Amino acid sequence: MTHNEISMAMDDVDTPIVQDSPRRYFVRLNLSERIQHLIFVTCFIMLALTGVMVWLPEKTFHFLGSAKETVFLVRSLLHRIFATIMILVCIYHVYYLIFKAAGRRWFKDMMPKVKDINDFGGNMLYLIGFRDEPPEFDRFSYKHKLEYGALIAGMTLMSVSGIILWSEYFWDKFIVDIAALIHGMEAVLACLALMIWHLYEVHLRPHKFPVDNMWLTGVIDEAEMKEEYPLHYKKIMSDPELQKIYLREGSKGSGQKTDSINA
Amino acid sequence: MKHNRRKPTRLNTRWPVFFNFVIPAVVCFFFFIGIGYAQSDASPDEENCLICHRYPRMGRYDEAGNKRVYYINDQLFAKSVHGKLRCKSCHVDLDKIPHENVKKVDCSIKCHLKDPSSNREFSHRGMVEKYENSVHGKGVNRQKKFPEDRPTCAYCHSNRSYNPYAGFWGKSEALSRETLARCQGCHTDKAWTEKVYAHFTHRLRRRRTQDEIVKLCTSCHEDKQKMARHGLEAISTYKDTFHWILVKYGVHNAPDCITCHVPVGYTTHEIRPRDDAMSPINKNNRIKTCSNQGGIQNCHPNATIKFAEGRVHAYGTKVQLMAAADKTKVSGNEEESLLIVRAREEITQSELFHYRVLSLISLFYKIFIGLVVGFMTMHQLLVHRRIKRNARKEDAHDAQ
Amino acid sequence: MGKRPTASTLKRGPGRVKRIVLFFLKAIYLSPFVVFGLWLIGIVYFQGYDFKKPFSSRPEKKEEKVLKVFLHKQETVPRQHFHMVDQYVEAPTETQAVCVVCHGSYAHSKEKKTRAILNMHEGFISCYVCHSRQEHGQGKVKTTPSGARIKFLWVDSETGEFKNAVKGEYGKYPAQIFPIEYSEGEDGRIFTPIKLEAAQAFLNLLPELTPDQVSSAKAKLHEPLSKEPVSCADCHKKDGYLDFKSLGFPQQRIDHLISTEFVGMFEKYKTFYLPSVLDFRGN
Repeated sequence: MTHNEISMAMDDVDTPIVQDSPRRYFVRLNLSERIQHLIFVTCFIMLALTGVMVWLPEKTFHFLGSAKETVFLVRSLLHRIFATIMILVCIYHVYYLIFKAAGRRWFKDMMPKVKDINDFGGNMLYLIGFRDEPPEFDRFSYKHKLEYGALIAGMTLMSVSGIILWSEYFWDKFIVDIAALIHGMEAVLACLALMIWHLYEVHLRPHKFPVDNMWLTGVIDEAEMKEEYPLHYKKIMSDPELQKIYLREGSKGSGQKTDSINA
Repeated sequence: MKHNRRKPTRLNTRWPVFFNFVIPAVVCFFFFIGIGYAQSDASPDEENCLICHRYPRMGRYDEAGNKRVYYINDQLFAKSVHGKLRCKSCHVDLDKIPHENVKKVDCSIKCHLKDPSSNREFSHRGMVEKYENSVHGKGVNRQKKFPEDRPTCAYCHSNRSYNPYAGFWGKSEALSRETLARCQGCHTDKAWTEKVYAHFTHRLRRRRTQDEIVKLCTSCHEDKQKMARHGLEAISTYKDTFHWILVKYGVHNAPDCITCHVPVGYTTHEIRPRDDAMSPINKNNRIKTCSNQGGIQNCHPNATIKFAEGRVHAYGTKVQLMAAADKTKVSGNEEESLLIVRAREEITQSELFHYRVLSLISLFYKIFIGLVVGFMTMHQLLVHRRIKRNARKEDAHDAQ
Repeated sequence: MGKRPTASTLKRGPGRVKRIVLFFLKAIYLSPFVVFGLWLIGIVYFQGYDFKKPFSSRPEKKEEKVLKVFLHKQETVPRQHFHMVDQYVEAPTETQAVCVVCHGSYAHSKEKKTRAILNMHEGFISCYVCHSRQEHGQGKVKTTPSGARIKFLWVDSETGEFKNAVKGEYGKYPAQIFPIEYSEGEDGRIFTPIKLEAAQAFLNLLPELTPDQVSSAKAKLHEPLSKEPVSCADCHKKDGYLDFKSLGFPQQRIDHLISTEFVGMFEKYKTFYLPSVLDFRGN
């Protein structure tokens, strides 16, 4: 993006002068997706907190005194409750992918393509400094796809090993040992990946710091859309059908439906 | 005297002082209140040992540099399980001052107290005999060397005091004055009734917490060298289990050492080796130990045989030796070779296989996490750098 | 990545103070994530590694006393002390003799027959009282070598306060008896025959000294001490070395301390008793 464009965009946003065309917003997550995400996030945080408590060193418990037994029992109960909710959300998500139109669109956009490999290479060159422009990303870039794949794999491993640990008496002790090992290692991997990859990408990086509201509102404004998902932007602008789905205008907020407008 | 070179000022940190002095002092304070009413009950010091032994600093360093404390708190002693005994009942032949030829106390001698059930002189003889037949005793212990490593009576036992009465230590851990009053309806000798009541109630519950048991057992079993010369592996392997996590959190009935090795119906003095048919951790008895200990403690009530027969402790030194060592070679180190010999007897092929699989998974994850986290960090650092650079460029542009 | 235009980017360069504040806010916001991440990595890769080790100068002692919560730390105590002991066994004191630096709290160890009974006195009588005998000339007036007068007083173990009498019995006192060096009309201070600095300097040098040098240094260090310390019978008699009355002992107790019962016991000890000059045990 050239400088002129940026300053134009800036003028566009920052001057509160009433313009001919109303402000436009683009939907990234619809209501169902946001609710799924919210439940998943809550569960993940609670599971991580209650989970790592078994690794706390012995000394930590001195100050808890006699309350530590209660703490442990509550911890165990919460871990199981949130695990159950998380698995249910994931099952709903599979249902959503198969039976809802928005879900099928999500799945189609999320499928890995050859373009992703090119994008990855191109983006790396851009990041290192050999190129001036990043590749044009579609709705989901290689970052999202990697993350989504890791989430599916991790979720499967964690659920299966967790259920084995929950019904430990039923299995060969060897299986239980493997499940315990994988559950712990995968948990560490998930927490680290989540913090470095996802949290940085959506909240911690400059211009989004300290928190980006997209996960609650579900929309981003036009400038951001143009910048981060240019290919998707172009597709939407050239296709009235897509505009119906992705384009909102007026005050920020995704609830209200607006008619499509011309690009 | 290298061992006790220390500064005369109060020592470096405050917390040790707090834990080692303030808390005990507070505990003692309540203790004294608790036993205060019983001062008249203190055993008359017929032998007049207390003339010297009631001084707290009575003691010395022994040749190994350890402290020998010769101090007796008569009030605490009177309230203890041995409170009725005279000093010389156990410390025999101490007639001379200064004491000469002091013998170690032998717990298997006959006391001059009558056992009310048999009306004979009471003795710990029976317990000592059982103990000698246990894995810790002379009878079963395969390794005849290093008898000094075997725990003595006093290694695990101390002269515990009877439970105090309700009101001072909270209700659950204490004796009930109400019950005592009921006894005293018929047994009018108050002091006697109190003593008997205290005596038979002090066994009503376990005296040590799970944490204390683990600490007591590991005080020997964690010592790698000591274990190796008996062909055993150090027991850090327990702390890799989920059982330990429960103990760490002080969960009621959490599985400590004796929960599995001395379950309900067994006695600690008779711990037997794993291959003994009587041992609760023998493969054939495992299912009972895990699932239903005499109907009293059900830890894994639905356990299948497959589950119960698996390895409980994490894989330790022996498996590692088996997996790593060239099996034909026995190294020159005697202790290690003993370990290898015993490992060969004990470690089955399936255990070895399980160990290999688990360490492979662990290794895989260690590498995988390293790679993934490394890649992610690099990628995000590059992103960050690029964003900052763009911002700087823009700044420069604006400045023009 | 491009730049998202926001109001803040237009207003360039916030003030320096604001930037520092922002930096700290950022650090506070991010630190939980960083700490948590590092901790997780530590669990996977450095299990069993003691992170404090490189930072602590001396290795932490293994927890020695499983059953003995009452005992003080630092010195190795027998794990399996059968009889219960209380806090008096090793009450920490603010003021103690320099001797404890090397000799520990049970200093007498040489003479088998008397060591325990002499150690028994250490809880309430400072080493200086007996081992730095200051009776110059006949009579009751005690002076230091330099001529200052000496009296014996209780010194509170917690506060260091001088007291004429303290509560307690049978070696369980909140104070220790010290020799107090004073001149007329002043409170005085604890008379210390050996300076702490000298003892510590000796300990620091010890690894580099040859055995000969060690023994001569020891002799030098212990020079201010009496060759013949105060013995049992010097105190436990009528008008003995210590004036029990001025130290606040009740008359009944004083009678006991100088009774035939005690003195009879010393007779038994006497045959074995050899005055043992302070020495490093085991050297």
